[in-house]
Amino acid sequence: MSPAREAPAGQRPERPPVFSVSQHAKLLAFLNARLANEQDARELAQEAYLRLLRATRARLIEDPAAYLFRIARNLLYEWYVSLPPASEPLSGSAPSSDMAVEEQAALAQHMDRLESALRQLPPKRRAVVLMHRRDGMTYKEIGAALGISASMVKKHLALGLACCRLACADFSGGER
Amino acid sequence: MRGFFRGRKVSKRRELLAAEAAEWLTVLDGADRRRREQFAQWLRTSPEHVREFLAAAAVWDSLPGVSSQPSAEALARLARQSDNVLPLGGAGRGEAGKGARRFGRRRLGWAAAAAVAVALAAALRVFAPFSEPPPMEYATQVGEQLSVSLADGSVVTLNTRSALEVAYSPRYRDVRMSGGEALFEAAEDAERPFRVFAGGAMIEAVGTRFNVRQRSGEVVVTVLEGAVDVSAERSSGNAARLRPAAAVRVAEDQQARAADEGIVVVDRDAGAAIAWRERRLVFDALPVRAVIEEFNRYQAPPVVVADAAVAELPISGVFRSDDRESFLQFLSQMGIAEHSTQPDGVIVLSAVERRQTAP
Repeated sequence: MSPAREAPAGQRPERPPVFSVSQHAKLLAFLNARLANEQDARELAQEAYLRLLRATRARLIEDPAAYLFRIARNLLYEWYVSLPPASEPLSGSAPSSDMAVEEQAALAQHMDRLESALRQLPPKRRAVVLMHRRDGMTYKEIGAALGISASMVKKHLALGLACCRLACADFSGGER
Repeated sequence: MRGFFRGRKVSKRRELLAAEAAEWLTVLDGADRRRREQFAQWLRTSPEHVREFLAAAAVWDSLPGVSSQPSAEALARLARQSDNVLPLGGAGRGEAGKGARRFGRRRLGWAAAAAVAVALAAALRVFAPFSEPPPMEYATQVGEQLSVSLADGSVVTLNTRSALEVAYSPRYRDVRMSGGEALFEAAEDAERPFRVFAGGAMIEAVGTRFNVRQRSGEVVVTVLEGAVDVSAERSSGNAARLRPAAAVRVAEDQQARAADEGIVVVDRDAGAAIAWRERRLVFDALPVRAVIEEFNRYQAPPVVVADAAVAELPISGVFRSDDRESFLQFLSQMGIAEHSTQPDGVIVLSAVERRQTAP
C-alpha cells in the first residue's frame, strides 16, 4: 500500500494531523476519553487492524507499536474531520485544556478506576507497577528494592498492568 | 497465568488477551527485530488484539498520572511485610477459594441462587443482540496467511488471497467466504450452529475442524475432525444450482465437492488438504497446469504454461508454496520444461527442445 493511505493530511492540507508518533501518550489519553463509546472503539480497532494488514511487512516490523499508533492517530484525525466543525477539540495544545466537559469527566473516571485497581493489587505487584510507571525505576532497580529478580519484576509488571486494564475495561469497549 | 484478575468477572480468553497485551508493553522497549516481528504477528491476529493493545497502552500511559498512591519507599515496605502473607502470583486464587468454602458450608439457598444466576446469564447471552460484535472482514493478499481467533473461541485460518466476513448473531455463527481457502476450527456450541457460506453452498458444523476451498465453479470441503453438513444455500441466487437440496453428511477424512452437477463425497486424506498451513503443497499426479495454478495463488506475477503437452504432464511431489523457483528448477532438471521471464515479470513455461531424450 502506498504511504499516502496513512496520510489523510494529503487530502486536507489546511489541517494537518497535529500529533507526532512520540506524542502517543497524548493520543492515548485522547483515545481514553474519546472512545468511551464501545462502538467507536470497536470500529477504530477494526479499521486500524485492516490498515495493519495492508501495511508491508518491512514497514510494520520496523516499529510495530509506533506504526499502530500512527494508524490510530490518523484514524482519530479522519474521524474528527468527518465531524461537524462545532466540536473541534483536536489541537496541538494539551488535551486537558481543550477537552469537552464529558471527556474530562471520562478521563477522571478512568483515573479513579485505575487508582482503585492499583489498591486491589497484591502489594508487591502494586509496588512494581508504580515504581516503574510512576517513578521511572528500571527493572533492575525495582528488583533490588523488593528483593526479587528482574524477570519477576517484568512478570509482576505485566500482570499488574493487565489487572488495571481489565478494571478499566469499558473505557475502550470490551465484552465486560 | 489465568485467574490473576480479582475484579469483576471476565472471561478467561479476555484475561489471557489482556495479559498478552500487557506483556508486550513490558518487552517492546528496545526489542530486537525478531521480537518486533513476533509482536507484529501478534497484532495482526485479529482486531481484538489491536484493540486490546491500544487499550493496554492507554492504561500504561495514564499510570504516571496517578496521584493517590503511596511513595516508592512505602510501597517497598508494604511489599516486604506482605511476603509471608500473600504467595506470589496466587493471591487472587487463595481468596476465591476461601470464599467458595464459606459459601458451601451451610447455606443451601446460595446454590439455588447461583443456579438462577447461571440460567439468567445464559438467557442474557441468548437474548442480548447488542453484545454481538459487528460483522468483521478478514482478507489476505498473495502469499499471506492469517489466523483469527473469533469471539466464541473458534479459530479461522485464511490461506493466500482469501476473504471472508464473520457475522455472529444470537442464533447462528455465520461466516461468508467471498473467495479463497480457509481452515475452520469451530468451537462447540450446540445452541448456535457454526455455518460457512461459500460459492452457493452452506456448510454447517458443530464442534469440528474442516477446510473450505472456493475455486472457479466449485467449493471443496474437507473434514479433518467431526462432521459437517453440506447443502445449497437457500437464500442465494444459485440455490437451485446445487443438488440435492437436502444436506449431505461429510465425515472425517472425507471430501465434498459442490458444483453445478451436485455434491459429491469422496474419501480423502485430509492431511494433504491442509498442508498449506505449513506452506507445503502436496501434488499427487497433478497435471502441470494445475500445479502452476496452485503456485500462482501464492506468488505474483504468474507463471503461464505456453505448451499444451507440458500442461498435461502429471507431477507428484511436495513443494514449499512460497518457493516456486525450486519447482521450476525441478522441471528443467528433469527435462520436462524450461522457463523464461518476460519484461513484465511473467514467467513463461515452455517445452524443452529435446524432450524425447530426457529421462
